[in-house]
Amino acid sequence: MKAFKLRWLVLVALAVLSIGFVQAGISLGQEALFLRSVEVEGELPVTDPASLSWEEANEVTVPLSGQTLALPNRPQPFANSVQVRTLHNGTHIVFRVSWPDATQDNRTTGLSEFRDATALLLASSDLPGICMGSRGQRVHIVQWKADWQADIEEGFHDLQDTFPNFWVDLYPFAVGDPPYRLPEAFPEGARDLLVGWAVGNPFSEPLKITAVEDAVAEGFGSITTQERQDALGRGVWANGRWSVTIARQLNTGDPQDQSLGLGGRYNFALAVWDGSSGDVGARKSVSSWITLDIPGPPPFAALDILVPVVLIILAAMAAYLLIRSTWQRRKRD
Amino acid sequence: MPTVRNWQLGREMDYIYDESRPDRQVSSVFDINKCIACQTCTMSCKAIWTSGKGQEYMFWNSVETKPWGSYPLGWDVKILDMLGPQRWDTSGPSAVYEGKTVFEAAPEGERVLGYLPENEDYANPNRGEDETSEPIDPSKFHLQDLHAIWNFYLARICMHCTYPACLASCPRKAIYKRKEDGIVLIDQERCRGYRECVRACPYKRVLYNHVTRISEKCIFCYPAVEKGIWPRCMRNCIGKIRMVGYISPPGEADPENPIDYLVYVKKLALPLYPQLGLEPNIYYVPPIHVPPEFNRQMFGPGADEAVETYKRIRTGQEPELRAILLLNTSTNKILTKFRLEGDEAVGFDVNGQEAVRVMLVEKEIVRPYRDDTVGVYRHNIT
Repeated sequence: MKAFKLRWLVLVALAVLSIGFVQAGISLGQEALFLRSVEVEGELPVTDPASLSWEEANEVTVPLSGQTLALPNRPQPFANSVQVRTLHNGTHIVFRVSWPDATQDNRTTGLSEFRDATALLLASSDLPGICMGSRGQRVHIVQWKADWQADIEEGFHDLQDTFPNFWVDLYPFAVGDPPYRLPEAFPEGARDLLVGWAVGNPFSEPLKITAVEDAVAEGFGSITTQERQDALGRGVWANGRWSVTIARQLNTGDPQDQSLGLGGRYNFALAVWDGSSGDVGARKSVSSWITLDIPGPPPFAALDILVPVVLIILAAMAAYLLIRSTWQRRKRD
Repeated sequence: MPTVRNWQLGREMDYIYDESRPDRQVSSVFDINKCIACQTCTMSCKAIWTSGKGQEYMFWNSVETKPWGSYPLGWDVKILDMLGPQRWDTSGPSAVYEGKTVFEAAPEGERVLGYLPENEDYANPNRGEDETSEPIDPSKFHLQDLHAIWNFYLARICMHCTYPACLASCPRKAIYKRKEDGIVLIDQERCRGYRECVRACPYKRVLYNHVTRISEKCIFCYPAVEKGIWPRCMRNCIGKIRMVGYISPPGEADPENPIDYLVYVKKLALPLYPQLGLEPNIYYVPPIHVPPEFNRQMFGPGADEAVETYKRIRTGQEPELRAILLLNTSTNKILTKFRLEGDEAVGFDVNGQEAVRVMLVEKEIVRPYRDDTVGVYRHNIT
């Protein structure tokens, strides 16, 4: 009889625990990487990875692996892990990604120069294919690029900045004098030979407005820059380490973005590129999925407590009734 | 990985995509024996397409002095070295390549065997130009190996390959081969400057623009081709070494098509480094005064026979070949058919209209040394 009672007690306890796990966002057998965005008052450190505000955020260490699903690949990760934190203020959210990197690679003017970069891939809680989403399952990607930031902060890194001894007499329809700086020496008619720029390729645009590209993808090879750019960010490289912020509105109003909201739960993944290693495109280090929790405002917070309490009471009542009916049946027998 | 047929290898090979030949394939034949390395082709291309900022050392067309010259530096010896020694089986009626292509030899995790050149490799587009004669003072020269005094000029553009390595390597499919004419293009809106194509193309005919930070390549002057006219480098060729047309798919050779006749029927025009596996669509009449081993390495096992065929043209034994070579020096229109009519050769354009008519052997008229009508002696009497 005692053993029978004990078995029921164990069953009831398991039921209660599993309800608790569901509430906490942890399920048995699932990777339990979890990042909660901490709410702060007022302005977010959108461009300041060293801000003291970051002390308020939890840090999660995210392991990286080499991208090996698509060709070309990177068999080994550049760094074993990255550190991630996130803050929000009710309307905006900012992430900080930090990883060790002995070299600052923020030029892509030379043929063998590749940029350091990091990207966040944001998706709804239904897991799309890892890395770049999959057909019909669009993912939202925000990628910070070291060279784009250098172009904004130091001015467009022009040809003569990489090749100081270069000389030219003239370019067709360019105005002014050698070395004919971009963009001012190239009015509209003179851009025809700078085709990428002329057709509006964001990689060829000398006057960039953000170091973070806002893009969408539906699988490998499909990344496409969005028409609307809603993300900002800034990286600081110091003491052999990059710390990069990436920020956006929670709800940007852009249907191409993954809409985020208070009280919501999402999936995101990370990628890191090391320019010195020749990382570019699919040659990258990637994380697996991380659950992103954006805690809701007080009314929803109260609900968060109320729901599990009610569930536990209901589970306990059900267990009691079950035990009682079984006990009575046995007594009758 | 899908298997495709590469007729230049005489066998099937691995390629990242299924075989998908265009409806028509533009093609060109360069007669190396006629090239004088004047670089007019290079400059005519440069003036129209690559005179922008970031393209200073970008040449979609270049002419290298072989054996030493190369642009970018060492492009051919590097990829041959990476591929290693490979063999052709020449025992059957047609040669079969037994070695590996750049697709089949791709290292683990890569799509194509290749390498990314350095900036400096493009800095001397005509290096090797004057290094074919024995140096006066060997100690002052970088290249000191003694070799017989021979050289030739290798004019090169993008090969608009049937199996382009650039297209295969682009992870985001920013490179495409046009269905209507087989011209290979880079979508300038879609390219993100990964440079996988620059790394993969063994001919190194995709180049990085330092200012727009994306890759660019020869477009075979498609606006001209769409009007039935030759690309600019071909039109401006001083030595008239180039012939332009459409090549039929393998096995469907049309003996009236000048390109088919040169490539398939007479096998006079050969692909450059066919062993790389790209089935390039620019063909070469190999130089006739070059060591045969060098020709074979560069143009495959058919090089010896092509040299003999070319010599026969010079003795009048190949009237059809002579007709094609003459017709193509006399027009800038793409010829799709040719015919011999008595002692004349006739060429027809893309609409089937007669575009050019030339005599197979120019008539020689000898005039008297003295012109009695005006009472003077002539300087030139033929």
